[in-house]
Amino acid sequence: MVRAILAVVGGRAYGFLCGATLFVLLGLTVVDVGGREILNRPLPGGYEISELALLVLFFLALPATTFRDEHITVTLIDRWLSGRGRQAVAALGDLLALAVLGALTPFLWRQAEGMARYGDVTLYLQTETAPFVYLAALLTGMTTLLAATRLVYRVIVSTADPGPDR
Amino acid sequence: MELAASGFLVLFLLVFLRVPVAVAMISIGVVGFATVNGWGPALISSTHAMVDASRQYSLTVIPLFLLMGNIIARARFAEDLYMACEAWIGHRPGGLARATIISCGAFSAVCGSSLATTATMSRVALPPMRKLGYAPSLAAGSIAAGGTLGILIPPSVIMVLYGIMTNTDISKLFIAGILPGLLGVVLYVATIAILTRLRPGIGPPSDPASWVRRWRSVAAVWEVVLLFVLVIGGIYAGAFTPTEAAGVGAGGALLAAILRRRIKPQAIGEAFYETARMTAGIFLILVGALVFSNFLNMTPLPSALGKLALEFGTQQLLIIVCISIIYVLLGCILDSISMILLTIPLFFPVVKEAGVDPIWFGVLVVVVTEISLITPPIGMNIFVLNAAATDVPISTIYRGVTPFVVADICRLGLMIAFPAIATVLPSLM
Repeated sequence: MVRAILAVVGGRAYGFLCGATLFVLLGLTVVDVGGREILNRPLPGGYEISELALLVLFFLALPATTFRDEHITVTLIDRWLSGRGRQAVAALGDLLALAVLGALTPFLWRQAEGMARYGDVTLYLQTETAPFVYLAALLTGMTTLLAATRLVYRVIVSTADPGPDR
Repeated sequence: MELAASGFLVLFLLVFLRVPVAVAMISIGVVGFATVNGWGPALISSTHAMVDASRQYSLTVIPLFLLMGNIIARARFAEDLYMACEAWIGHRPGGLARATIISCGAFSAVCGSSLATTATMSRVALPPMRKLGYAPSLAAGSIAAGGTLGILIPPSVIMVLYGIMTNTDISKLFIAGILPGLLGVVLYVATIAILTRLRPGIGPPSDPASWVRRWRSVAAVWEVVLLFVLVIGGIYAGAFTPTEAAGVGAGGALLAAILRRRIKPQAIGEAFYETARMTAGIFLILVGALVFSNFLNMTPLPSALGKLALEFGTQQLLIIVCISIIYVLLGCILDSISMILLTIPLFFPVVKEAGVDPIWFGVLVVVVTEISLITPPIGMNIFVLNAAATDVPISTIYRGVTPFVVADICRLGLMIAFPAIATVLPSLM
């Protein structure tokens, strides 16, 4: 299961999915500006679709950013640590990410359920918003799993026997 | 009050221990909020912050401007900018270092991040300076300092975040950054002129370029100039909102790169994917800052700061100097985005109470953040440069940036003495 998720997040297809979402956001903005400036007709509901595309972009890219260890981190301490020490310290970050995202995931799901129950829709296009928040919860759950995988990997690396010649 | 103080203390400790800044902010924010109001409300308010922040239309500007910068960096337009500056002024003493500063300024005009500007320009500008026998300190100092222009000269990701958090007009903030940014370029170039006059050997002039080469090099950068005019001119003229300008800028950069055959399809895909991941990183910090500030609002800290503002309300200068010092110190442990997102909710009400112009304060905060990026012993740009040029010892970079830090402090003084440097252009909009 975890290996399958890793393959998906690390793969090109996932990068394409994230890139495509951003491309939609760019296309929407360009078409909206073009319509407004040239034809004097902005894209109907473009504003709302952009907001939802932005939400999808953030949650879709979150597992990739986490998996590739690209969150903004202050690495001052690195110069005083060995390779194994770095892995051990970095494991603390994974542990916290695991705890906090793991705790937030069910609450995001509950938020989506609440939105579905109240029939939360966007103002202009009347698009249901709950499915997007369900997706956000699923992707946050996936990020949690990835943080857990990293943690296990780091614990193994930092506690492994370094070998006689190191 | 102890709760807020210990919250900050643990936050800095976690950040120092390599916990991602966003994760540290969310963790402390949730635990702190839960200590006052219980776990349920803490987690519910955090998920709401997560969903609400990530679907804010005004934030669309961030991925689009990041995309513009990523495409331009991959399409090697930075090289063209550098070549154009080098052709015109390379033959003067310290000419390549001056060209570095000016091309950093020009690159910043189409890229909103200091670290990206430093990373790109170190790749472009360092090899020619080394080849010509520049002192490593001058070469490294000019790149690290030039890179800081990335967050001040619009478009700027930091200004967008400041504008959103304080409800300040982002268009006006962008325009307000232009003159202080140009002043930065002028002061940095003057610094190089003084340094090379004192010690001519540190920046030997290159052979003068022919007039044909000079004009050809200008012709090679017309797309970048056009993009800047479209994006910033459009905002200044009121034709575009910042989001629309970002869309036009990113779309235009993509089109220019494809038409000039400067980018392969695979590199386009990489630019989009990288932008998506950078966006997720920045948004998560924004979420972290919101969760952390929800927690701080549960403590007496905001009202204590409010009281302080009432007490010292008339002493604007004192407040500004104190805040500037805090920023330079914070720059030792935090990156610029986290620093601004974390502190603005606390400082902004204080300066507003003291009657400080929010646009001027926004520019000031960015200038001070710039200083913190290159202030020894710890400045993020110094480390980016150190990672890009591993054979330049960090002590050499420290030595190299120090004169530029002095130039920055002069600029800060000028901005405090003559606030019009930042406010005159937006007042004409």
